[in-house]
Amino acid sequence: MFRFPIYAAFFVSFSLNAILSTPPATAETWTDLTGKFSVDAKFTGVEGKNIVLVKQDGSRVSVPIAKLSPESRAQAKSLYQQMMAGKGDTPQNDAANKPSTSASSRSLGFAPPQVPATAPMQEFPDNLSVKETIDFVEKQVKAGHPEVFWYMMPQEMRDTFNNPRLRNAVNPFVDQQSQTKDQFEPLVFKFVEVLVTKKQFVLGSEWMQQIPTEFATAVNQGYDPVVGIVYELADLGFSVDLQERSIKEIIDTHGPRIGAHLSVLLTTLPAEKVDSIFHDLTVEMVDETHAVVRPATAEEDVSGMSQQTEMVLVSGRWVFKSVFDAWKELEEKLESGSFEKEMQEKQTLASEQAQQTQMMAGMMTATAKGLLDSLLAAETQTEFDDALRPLAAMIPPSISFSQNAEESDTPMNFDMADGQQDTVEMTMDSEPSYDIPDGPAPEGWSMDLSNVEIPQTPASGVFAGELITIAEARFENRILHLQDQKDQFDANALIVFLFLDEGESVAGKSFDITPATGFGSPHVHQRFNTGNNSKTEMFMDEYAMRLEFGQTSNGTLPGKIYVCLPNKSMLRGTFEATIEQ
Amino acid sequence: MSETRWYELRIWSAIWMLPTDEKYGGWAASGEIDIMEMKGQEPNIVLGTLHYGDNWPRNAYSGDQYKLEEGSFADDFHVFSIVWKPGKIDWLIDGKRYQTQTKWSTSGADFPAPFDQEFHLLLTVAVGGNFLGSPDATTEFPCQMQVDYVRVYQ
Repeated sequence: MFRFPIYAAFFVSFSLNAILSTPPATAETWTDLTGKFSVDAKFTGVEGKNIVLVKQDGSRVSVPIAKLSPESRAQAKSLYQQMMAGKGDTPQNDAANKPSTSASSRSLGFAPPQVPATAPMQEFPDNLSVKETIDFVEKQVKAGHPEVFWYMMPQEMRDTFNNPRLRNAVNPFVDQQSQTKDQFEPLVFKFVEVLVTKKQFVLGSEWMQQIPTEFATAVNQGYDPVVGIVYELADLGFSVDLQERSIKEIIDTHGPRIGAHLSVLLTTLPAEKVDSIFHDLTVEMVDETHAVVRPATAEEDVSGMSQQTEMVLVSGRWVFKSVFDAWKELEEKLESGSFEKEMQEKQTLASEQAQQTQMMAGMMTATAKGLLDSLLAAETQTEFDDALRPLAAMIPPSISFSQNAEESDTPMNFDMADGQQDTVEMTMDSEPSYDIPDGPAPEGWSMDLSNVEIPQTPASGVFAGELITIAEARFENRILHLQDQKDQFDANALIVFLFLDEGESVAGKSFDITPATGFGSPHVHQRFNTGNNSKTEMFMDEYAMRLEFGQTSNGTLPGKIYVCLPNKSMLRGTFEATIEQ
Repeated sequence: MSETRWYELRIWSAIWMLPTDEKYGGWAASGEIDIMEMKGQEPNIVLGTLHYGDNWPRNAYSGDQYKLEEGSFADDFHVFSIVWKPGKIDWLIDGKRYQTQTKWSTSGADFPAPFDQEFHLLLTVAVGGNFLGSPDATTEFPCQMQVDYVRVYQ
């Protein structure tokens, strides 16, 4: 229970970025990326993705942040942060069920799911016992108020998490991030549109036919609230603009909206299931200010740990110890000033990751958009099912409805459409195909190395339509292994056999291989993890690769790679290979 | 050196070397170098063996096995190699040496005979036989040994 996704979403918002204060400036010089344009003007603020400048003649100009030179961007960033820091706290407003501010600024081709009516959340009482705290939280969650997880904290904790120093630091200048957002946002809402406008086709689809009848009613009843939650979570995710709203405002706005759907969803679940979540909890008082809450039926799992939640009493409120610890840490960091430095580092990392995500997103969005458009265009169940089929091919076999004797004691019976009872096995193809995927090759895929630029981000790419990021690199026995999971012998991997001579070093060497290189090219193995075993495709020539090694230091060998395989797979970026012999 | 993978019960895959001229006599007087042999029913073990001594049945052999810590040899490609120097043969899997042989003999000549002559490579997949027993209903076909490359460095 206490691991609600919503609860998690709230606290994710707290790990935000930092501020750097610099002295104010009256008029600044602004240059664009090309260096051709330059203007002396005063920075007055940010509107969306543009900065607003006032020139000496008094005229206003709006310049896209993305067009600014790196220096000007840094200048805008510090001026903006300084401006925000000076603003101080925004007035707080306790009114729940406000309209979602972001929905109005987004143009949707459909009516968003209606938010069910709920009563406002009751004020959180002080000085409750642990049991009373849990009961109150339960009551509020059931009544549609997951924001109770916020209000259960004492004021001083809420104040820290709501500290403008945290939220002002959200940086609108990491435009890689906003570009990623721009790429995903329309897709996510298109997906919701399919769920909303094609409900009868979704429920009538071939996939749904595979759901055992005993669950069919639950699926039908839960459909609307689940879609509502999906929409609200997407709305939350794409509208967390802390420049405009405080964390508290965001929680007050989105909490009741998500909660309203959630409360309806809870009514569709069997009552005993819901009650068992809350009522089978035992409270063990460690001392007057510490308690451990655990499910009454908790069994020790293999690791010897049982599921339990520690709670501590802070200013008359029982709060989760994990949240309390996070608060303590944040307090200390704010106090000592180390918060800023650490957040800066995190921000740099996040920016790098966003760059990577964006690159991968670019490869996939076209395919996803096409698929969703054809689902939206479907006028009949048959058309819808036809449009859905390419998606089925992308779903890993582990998500099939197969129930065989080894997995389950009771074979699952399905009611067939003709009323006959029969035992059927619904197993998808257990050996996925690594044939050349339909559609265009991923962006940047080219057998021509002349224009290749290897990005300075950790190597990532597409394996026959699947996005992968390299997590482990090693150079072993003169063979380069790049794989997407650490210490996993059957992880998705690209393995390059360089055929070096004995004692030959690769440090500082580079390899350019094109289809014209022919016999004698390094061999490239592309290993696909299929869940229960692995499958390897071999490439001996007819592929393109640029592989550049740096100099060895401390047992690691840095490098850059760009590989394009004829099956429309590609990988590009940097790696740090550990040297093993 | 070669890179292989395989599967299946009662299937015997092997990479081995036989004397091209049989200068010291018939099997195994002129020697045999088994770079790797695997029984389908023990897919995590490979064997490396030398055969030598005299004509069958007075032949001798020596060797060792290599066992994977996890998974089977069918899960992935591996590099099997030997480094053959005068009087010494090393067996390696994925670049790691697991066996060295320095003692052998043949009735027809002095050490390092018979391993001082020209040998050739054989890559085989056999079904059944004394080494591993006859195939039965659990032996599935088709089965395969996949080889990416064979390279000889001199």
